[in-house]
Amino acid sequence: MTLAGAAIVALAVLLVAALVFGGLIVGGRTVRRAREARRAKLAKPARQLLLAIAAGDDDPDQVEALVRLSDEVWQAVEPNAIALLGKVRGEAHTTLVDVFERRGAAWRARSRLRRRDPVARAQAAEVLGNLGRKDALLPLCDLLGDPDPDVRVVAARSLGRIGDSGATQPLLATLASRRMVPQQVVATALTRLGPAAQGALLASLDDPRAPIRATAAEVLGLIGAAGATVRVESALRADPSIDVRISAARTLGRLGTRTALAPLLDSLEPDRPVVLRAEAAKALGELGAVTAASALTVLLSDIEYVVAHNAARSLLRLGGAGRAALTAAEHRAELEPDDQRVLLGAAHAREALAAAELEDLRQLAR
Amino acid sequence: MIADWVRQVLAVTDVVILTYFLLINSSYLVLIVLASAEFVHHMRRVPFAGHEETYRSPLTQPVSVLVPAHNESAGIVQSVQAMLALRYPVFEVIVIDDGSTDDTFERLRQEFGLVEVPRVVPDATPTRGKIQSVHVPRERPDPLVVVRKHNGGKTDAVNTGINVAQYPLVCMVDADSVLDPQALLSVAKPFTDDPVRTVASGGVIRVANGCTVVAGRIVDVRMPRNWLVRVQVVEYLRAFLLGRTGWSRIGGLLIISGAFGIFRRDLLVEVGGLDHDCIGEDAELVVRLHRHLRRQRRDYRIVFVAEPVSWSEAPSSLKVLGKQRRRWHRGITEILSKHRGMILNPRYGRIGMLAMPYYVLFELLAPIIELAGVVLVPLGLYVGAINARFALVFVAVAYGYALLLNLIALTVEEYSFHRYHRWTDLIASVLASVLENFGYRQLTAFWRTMGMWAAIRGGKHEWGQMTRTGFQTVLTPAAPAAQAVPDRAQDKAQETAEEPVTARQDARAES
Repeated sequence: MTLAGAAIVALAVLLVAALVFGGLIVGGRTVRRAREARRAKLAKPARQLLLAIAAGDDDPDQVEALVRLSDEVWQAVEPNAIALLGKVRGEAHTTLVDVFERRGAAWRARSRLRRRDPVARAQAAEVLGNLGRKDALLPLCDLLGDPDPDVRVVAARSLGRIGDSGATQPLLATLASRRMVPQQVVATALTRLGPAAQGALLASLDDPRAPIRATAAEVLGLIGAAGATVRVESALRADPSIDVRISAARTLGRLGTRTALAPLLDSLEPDRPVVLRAEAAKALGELGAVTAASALTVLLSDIEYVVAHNAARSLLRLGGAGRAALTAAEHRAELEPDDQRVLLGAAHAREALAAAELEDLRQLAR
Repeated sequence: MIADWVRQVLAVTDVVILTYFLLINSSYLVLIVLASAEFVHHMRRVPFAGHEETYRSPLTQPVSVLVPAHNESAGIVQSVQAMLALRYPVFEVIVIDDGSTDDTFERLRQEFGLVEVPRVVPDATPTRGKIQSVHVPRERPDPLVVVRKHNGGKTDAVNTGINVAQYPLVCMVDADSVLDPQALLSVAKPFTDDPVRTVASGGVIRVANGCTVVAGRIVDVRMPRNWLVRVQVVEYLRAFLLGRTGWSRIGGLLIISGAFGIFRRDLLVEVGGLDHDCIGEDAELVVRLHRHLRRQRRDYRIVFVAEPVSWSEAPSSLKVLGKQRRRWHRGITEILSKHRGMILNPRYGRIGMLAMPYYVLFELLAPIIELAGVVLVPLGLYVGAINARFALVFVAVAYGYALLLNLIALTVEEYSFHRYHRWTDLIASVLASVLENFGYRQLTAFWRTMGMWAAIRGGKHEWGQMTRTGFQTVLTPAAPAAQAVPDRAQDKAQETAEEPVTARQDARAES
């Protein structure tokens, strides 16, 4: 075939392809619209039942009506039901869960956990989490090692929603696994497991793997585990991993125990990493210990912006003593106008004091 | 004899040009196929994307939204209101008024009751235009910061924003961008899914012309009435949405639009922020990040999120469009020239071996070859160097292929996001796909060639000398409305134009 002949064939192919894609666009849109219209029509009465339940109406007849919906109607309304399940709390949530359970959603989801399609596995894990099925704990823990990262993330989130402390160790273990789950997802799930997870989290501070220790330290602060203070303090002092020490500093600030003062002050030393010093400066403000005022005042003229900034904001949180220190730092600039460090400290103090005044003003306005 | 020789050269050149057309369109087809795979992956996972969890998590990384603004008086208030209403757990909006000569700042001041506050701004990235003042709302608890500075260009404004930003992620947004409420949650998702490796995430920009905007939100998507903009809608769909998604799929994304992209602030500081001396500063930043991270052998991801969440106005006149395309191509030329050492360099992996050579071959040279085709094919026909029937069929194949690609792009859009839901929109899109090949492509090729020439000629950039000033302390020089300013700010109003304070004694010398 000559080049010109090939070009003519190509042109013909292009024309056919253009027609095919044109048909696909028109056909696809027509089918989608028809399907959407049919689904909306089918779902309309059931949606009203769902909204009534979400509004707190637990009329048994309405629940029964939802349970007895035909499969076709339920499929049309299911996306709305799932969306509501994730949003409503309390009695309405329990009623909705009951509807799902009686329609066999949990059984179907469990049977789909081993499907080849990762999307099917993730959807099943999502449903089990939404239903809060404690009997799904083990299969969901198994999914934490799934080859698909999205499935692992959904499994971790679902374990958090179920809230069984038995998931603590498997969740933490994923952080150091080859098939890991992002730290934020794991930590968020762990915060939902309640006080029963505290023991396992404390024990994890001795784990040889740094990501596990760091996450455990972080979560202990988020769940307000005041009993963990001593152990977290020693992590701040001696842990070889900087990530763990940073998490520990943050947690000590959140826990607000006065005994944390010494290790936090120690973390401010100039030879410590900047991120740790900044976090410790911030935590001292949350601690609210007036005795930290002098150390924080020194930091106002620190060469590292984030350290000085956090110190200034922390001084504000110390109340009258902190504000007095900031005012003094601001006035020092008038006495030593040629000292760059003094000027810098004064600038940070001025910024913090102005922010505090604005905040006072806003509170007055409220 | 000479005539024969010319005919021979023209015949070969014309075949090369037509073959180039087929190759470039085939490369687009590959990108569209890759993007389609990504869309299928994305769309199937939307039901369990976990936005609600991210929104409620106390550990979601806060974002500083940077909005550089220069003479944006008309829409700035609506734009900022929409940004403040974004759905995200913790964020701040930083508007950088880059020496506006209209009432951009005054409008913001009136709407949000701004007052001037003292602020220490670190010298994290280099800036040229000095900060004049920093403002926050007096009574409203909105997380809004407005920085007024001397004009230094968009790059300078963004760098200033990076310096002012308090949070670990920074999102660059154009002042005229219209964002969906979920925009930040969508584009920040890669940072939640893969926090260790993700360093930047770009959002797709869609054309806002013709859409109905209420209170800074797109409430009805439709095709614009202007044919020039309609062609751009199809072009954005094919080249930006599908092209960039395709590149992202294979880890070769080189461009994140400055109109909507999220970056890790620490890395921006590490690489020195945006480059003042490059016109395409947003794309240059991404290339520089690749270069920096590859050199350090760090494992990283730069990704593109196809979810349609950001809308921007496209040029509706030839004059503005021409200016935009000249600027874009000048940017590409400067970037490829600046980072030419990366091209075909195995040290930079698929960026050096695949993405950058592709950009040279099919982006940088494309307008020149397109223009050459416009001139040489008719010339070849005229001198009888090529057979008329062959040329006609080959040109039809080349442009037919381009039209088919547009149809495929429209099909992908129809089966994925299907945001244009009217039948009239569909007809307009198909007609625009045809029209793109007649006049529009040739015109843009001309403008792009001009942009390339401007880069080669190396005309001066408009901004002035850079001055590094160490830490800048922005004090309150004068109260705009005395009764609206807190006592401390009023006290400080007496202190006018104080010199910046530097953290290091030698900071001035460094600059």
